[in-house]
Amino acid sequence: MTKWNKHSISYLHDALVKKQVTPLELVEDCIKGIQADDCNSFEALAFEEARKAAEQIGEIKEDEYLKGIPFLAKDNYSTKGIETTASSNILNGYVPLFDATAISKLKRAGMIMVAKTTMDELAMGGTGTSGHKGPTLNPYDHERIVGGSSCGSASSTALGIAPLALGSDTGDSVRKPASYSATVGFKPTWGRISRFGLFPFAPSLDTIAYFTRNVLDASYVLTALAGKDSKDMSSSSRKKEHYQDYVINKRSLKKIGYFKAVNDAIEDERLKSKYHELLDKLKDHGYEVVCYEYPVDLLNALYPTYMIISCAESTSNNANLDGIRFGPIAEGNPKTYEEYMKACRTKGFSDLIKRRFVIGSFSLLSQNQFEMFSRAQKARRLIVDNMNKFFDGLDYLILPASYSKPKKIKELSTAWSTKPDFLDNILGLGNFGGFPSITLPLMFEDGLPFGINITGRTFEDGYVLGMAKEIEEITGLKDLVKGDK
Amino acid sequence: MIKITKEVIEKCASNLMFALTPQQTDLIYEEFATVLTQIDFLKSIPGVDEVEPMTFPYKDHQRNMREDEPKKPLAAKDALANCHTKLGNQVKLPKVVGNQNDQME
Amino acid sequence: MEFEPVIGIEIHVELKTKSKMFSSAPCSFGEKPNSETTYYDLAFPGVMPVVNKEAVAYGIKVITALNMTLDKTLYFDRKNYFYPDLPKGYQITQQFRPIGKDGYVIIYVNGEEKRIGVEQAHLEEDTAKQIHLSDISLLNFNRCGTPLIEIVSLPQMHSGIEAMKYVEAIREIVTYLGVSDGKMENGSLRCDINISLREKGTEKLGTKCECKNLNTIQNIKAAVDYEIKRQTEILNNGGEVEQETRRYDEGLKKTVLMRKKTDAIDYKYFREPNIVPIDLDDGFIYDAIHSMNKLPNQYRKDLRRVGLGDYEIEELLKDREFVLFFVDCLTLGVKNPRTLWSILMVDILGYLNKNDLTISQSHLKKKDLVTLVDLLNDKKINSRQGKDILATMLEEGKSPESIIKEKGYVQVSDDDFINEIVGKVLEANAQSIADWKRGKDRALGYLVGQAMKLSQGKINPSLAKEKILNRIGPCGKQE
Repeated sequence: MTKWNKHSISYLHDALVKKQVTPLELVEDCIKGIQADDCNSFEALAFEEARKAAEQIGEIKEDEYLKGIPFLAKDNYSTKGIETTASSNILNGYVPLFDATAISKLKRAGMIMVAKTTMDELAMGGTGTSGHKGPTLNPYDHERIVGGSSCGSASSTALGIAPLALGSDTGDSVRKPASYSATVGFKPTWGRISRFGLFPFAPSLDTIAYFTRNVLDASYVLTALAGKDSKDMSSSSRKKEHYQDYVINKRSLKKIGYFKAVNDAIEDERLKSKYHELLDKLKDHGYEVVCYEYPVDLLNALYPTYMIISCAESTSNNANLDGIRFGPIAEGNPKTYEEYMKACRTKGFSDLIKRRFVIGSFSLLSQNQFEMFSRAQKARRLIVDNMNKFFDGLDYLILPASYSKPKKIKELSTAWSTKPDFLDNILGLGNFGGFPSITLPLMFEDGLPFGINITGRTFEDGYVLGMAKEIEEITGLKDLVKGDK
Repeated sequence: MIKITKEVIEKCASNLMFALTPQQTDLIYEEFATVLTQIDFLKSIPGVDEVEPMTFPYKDHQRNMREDEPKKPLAAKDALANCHTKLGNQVKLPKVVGNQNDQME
Repeated sequence: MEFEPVIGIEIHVELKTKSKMFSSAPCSFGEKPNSETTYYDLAFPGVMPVVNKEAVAYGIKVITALNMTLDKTLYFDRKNYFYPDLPKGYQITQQFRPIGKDGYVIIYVNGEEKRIGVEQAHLEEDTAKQIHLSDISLLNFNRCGTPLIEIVSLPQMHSGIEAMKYVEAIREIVTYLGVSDGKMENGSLRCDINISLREKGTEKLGTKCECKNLNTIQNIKAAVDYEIKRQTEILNNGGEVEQETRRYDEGLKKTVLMRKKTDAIDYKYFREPNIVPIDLDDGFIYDAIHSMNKLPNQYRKDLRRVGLGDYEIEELLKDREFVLFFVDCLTLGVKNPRTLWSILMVDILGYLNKNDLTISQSHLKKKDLVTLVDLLNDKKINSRQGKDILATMLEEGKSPESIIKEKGYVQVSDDDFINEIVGKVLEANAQSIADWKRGKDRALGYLVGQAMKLSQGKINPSLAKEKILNRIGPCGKQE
C-alpha cells in the first residue's frame, strides 16, 4: 500500500503546496506501489526519468493543481524514450521518438509519468487478458478480470499506485474497467482531447480517457488535457473550460433519463434496487427522472455495429506494423518483401487479433462493403440519431456501467459473441456519438464493485462532471483504494 | 457478398500479410456464421438503408488547415533508430520485385 | 476489320509545396536518404494527418484551369494495400469525393481544336522511393508524403498524337500555374495510359492494357502507337487482348509485359476517420483562383492575335519565362512581334543555352530589346549590326542607343548617304552592270557587297539593294 498515492490529486496537491511532501517522495512512493503490484499492471517502467523529472520541479503554486504528482499511462500512448508496445509482441522494443499530446500536456502541467500500464493487445479487447504479458487481475478478486482494454490503468488506480492513469476508450475500455475496479473512469467528448500519439484502434471511436478516484480529480485533468491540437485535425477548436468549476459548484442540468429496456433486462436484483434507490435520491435532489423507450433493435445492434466498424478500422490502422521501420525484425531469412512482412506479422499478432483483422478486412472488400461496413455505419447513424433525439428532451442518460460481477479469467471466451447481450455493450453508445461519459462507483456486491454511468451531450463535459459529483455525494463512494482501511 | 470459404479466409489473411494455422482458419470460419447472422439482423432494422453511413460521431466541420511551413525534419539516424534492417541511412529489404510506383494506380 | 483505339490517361502531378501533404516535413529532393521525414512519413504509431493548405490551394488552381467543378467540402479516404514504399499500409487519397469533377482540356492536333474530358482530380500523397540493387532493395522515405494531384481523363483520345498532346497540355497547365515542376524525366509528372481497341462504330470498350514508365512526352506517342499496333495485330489474328500492365522500354521501343491483371488488388477504400470534413472558405477559394497565372491557351489566343504562326506560338509556349518576356515586350509597344520572336527564340535562346543561363539571369532588359527590334524594323540598323548590338546587350547589359553611339552606327538608313555610296559603287563597276544586263544575276550580290564594304558595313543592305536595283533595272534586260 502506498502512503501518499492512495490519496487524490487534490489531497496530494494540498500536501505539496504545504510542503508536507516533495514530488520526489511522491515518485518514490509510487515506485514502491508499482513494485508491490500483484495484478500484472505494468509494461515499461520509467523510474529514472520520473526521479529526474521530480527533482527538477520547483515551487508549486496554489493553482498548479497537477504539478509534482505522479501518473501512469496505458501502453498505447507514444512516450518519448520509453518502450511502448500496446502490449503486442509486434511492437516489442519500439522506443518512440515523441510524446503523445496528452502526455506532453500532463508533463507541461508538471505531472510525472512513472510507468506504462498493461492493456489488451492493441486495445482490441474488453477483458484485460489478451496482452503479451498475460492477464491483468482484478485487485478485488485475483481470479477475475478487471476489464479492458485499459486493464493495467484500472488495476493500478484501484490499488492506489497513482491518482491518475491514462487509458483510452473505444467501446467502453475505460468506463467498464472503472466499474469493475471501483474507480472513476471518464471519457470526454470525442475531439475534446487531441489523440495525437495515441496508437489508433478505431479512430472514429477512440477517445482519450482516464481513471481517477474521484470526480473533482477527473475535472482537473480534463482542464489540463482539453483543447485544439494542430497535430490532430479532429481535435475541436471549441473553447475549453475550467471543468473543475462545474464540480466545485455542482453545476448540473436537471433532466435525467434511463432506458426502459435496460431497466427491464437487469437480472441482478441487488443492482436493480441500488440503481432505483439512486434514481429516487436524485428525484429528492430535485432532478426530473424519466423512463425512456429507446428502440430495442438499436440496442441489439450495438454489438455487431461496434465489432464491424472497429475491426474494419483496426485492420487499416495496424497496417503500419510490418517490422520494416520499427518493431522486431523478421526471422527465417525472408526472400521477398511479402515474406518479410508475413514473418513479422504472423509472429507479432496473437490469434485473436488475426481473427478480428480477417473479419474486419473482409467487411471492407468492395464486394462486401455495402452489406457489412457501410451497413454498420448506417446502423451507427440510427443509433446516434436516436440518442440525439433522447438528448433533445433530456440532459443525461443514466445507466449501470456493468450488470454482473467481472468474469472469472478461466471462464472467458474470445470468440465472436453469438448471443450478445446489449447490457454488455451499452456503454458503446458514448463512442458512437462521441458523447462525454463517466463511470463512478455505485455499490459493492460480495466485495466486488459495480459502477454507475452518466452520459451527456457532446461538449457538455462540464455538466457531466457536475452531475457525477452530485451522484458521488449521494453514494458517498469516493477515493476508494483496494485494501485501504 | 463474397461467399465465405476457407480459401477466402486464407486469402484475406494473406493480403493482410499474415498466415493462419488451420485451426485459426476453422475458428474464423465458424465465427463468420455468427457475423453473417448479425449482418442480416442489421439489415432488418427499419430504416437502416435510408440513412447515410456515419463516419464521424457528430458533424463538426473544420475550416483550419496547416500553413505550408516546413519544420525541421528528423535526422536520418533518429528516423531509423527503431529500424533493425538497414544499410547506411536506408532501410534494407529483400529485393522488391516490380517497378517503383507499381501499386500507384 | 477496322478498329478504333480508345485511350484514357491518369496523370500524377507532384505539387511543389514547401512541406508535405499531411506532414510538416520539407519537400526537397536530392537530399541525403531519409533526412527529409517526420514521424508521420515513417508511420510511427499514433501519428495523424494534417492537411497542407497550400496543396489544397494548388488543387483549386488546377481544377479551375481544367474547367472542373470544385467540391467545397474536402473529404479524404484510405486506399489500403501493403507495399514497402507505403509505410502506413494505406495511402490517403480522395476516392469518394474528389476535390474536382467533370472538366475538360482543349488540345490542338494538326491545327484542329479538340476537347478532352477530365473525369476527376483528387489530392493524395506520394510513396517512398525504392532503389533496387542486385539482391536487396533500399527504401528512402524523403519523397514519402509529397502532395500529388491525380488527374483522370475520360477515355476520349484515339491516337498516339492525341495522347501526347493531352499530357503536354496538362504539363503546360501545371507548370504555367507554378504548382509543379512537371518534369516527366524525374517523376514529378507521371502517366498511366489505358489503351483498348474497339470495332469502329461500336460503343463497347475492349479489354484495356495499362502502360507505365513513360518518362518523356515523346515516349507517350511511341508507346501508344506501338500498343495500338500490337493490339490490332492480336485482334486481326483472331486473338484476344489480355488485361495487363505493360511498361514502355525505351531501348526496345516496345511495350513489355509487367504483370497480368488476373488478380486485381481490392483496395478496401473507406473514409479517413482522422480528417473531419473541411469546409473551404469562400475567401480562400477566391484567393486561390484569383492568384492563378495566365494559362497557355489564353496566351495562344493573344499570340495569334498579334500575328504569330502556330509554330512560333508553340515554340514560345515551351517556356513560360519566354512567354512572359515576350508579352511584356508587346506591352512595351514593340512594332514587329515576329522580328521580336525570331530574335528572342533564335539569337537570345541560343546565347542563353550556350551560357547555361535563364532569361532572368542574363543582362537583357525588355525595354532595350524592344528598342533593338524597332531599330531593325525601321531599318535604322541592319541585321549584322543588330546581332552585334544584341551580343553587347547580352554581355554588358548596355542599351542599344549607347552601343550604337559607341560603335558609330549612325544614320545608317539616311537616303542621301546610301545614294552617295551606291552612286560611287556603280561608277566604279561598269563591268558588273554589263554582266547584270546580260543576265548574270550574281552581279547584284557583288554590287551590294561593294556598297557595304565602301560604307564600312554601316548601311542597311536591303535598302542598298533596293536602290541599286532602281538604278540598274531588271536582270537580263538590255536597254
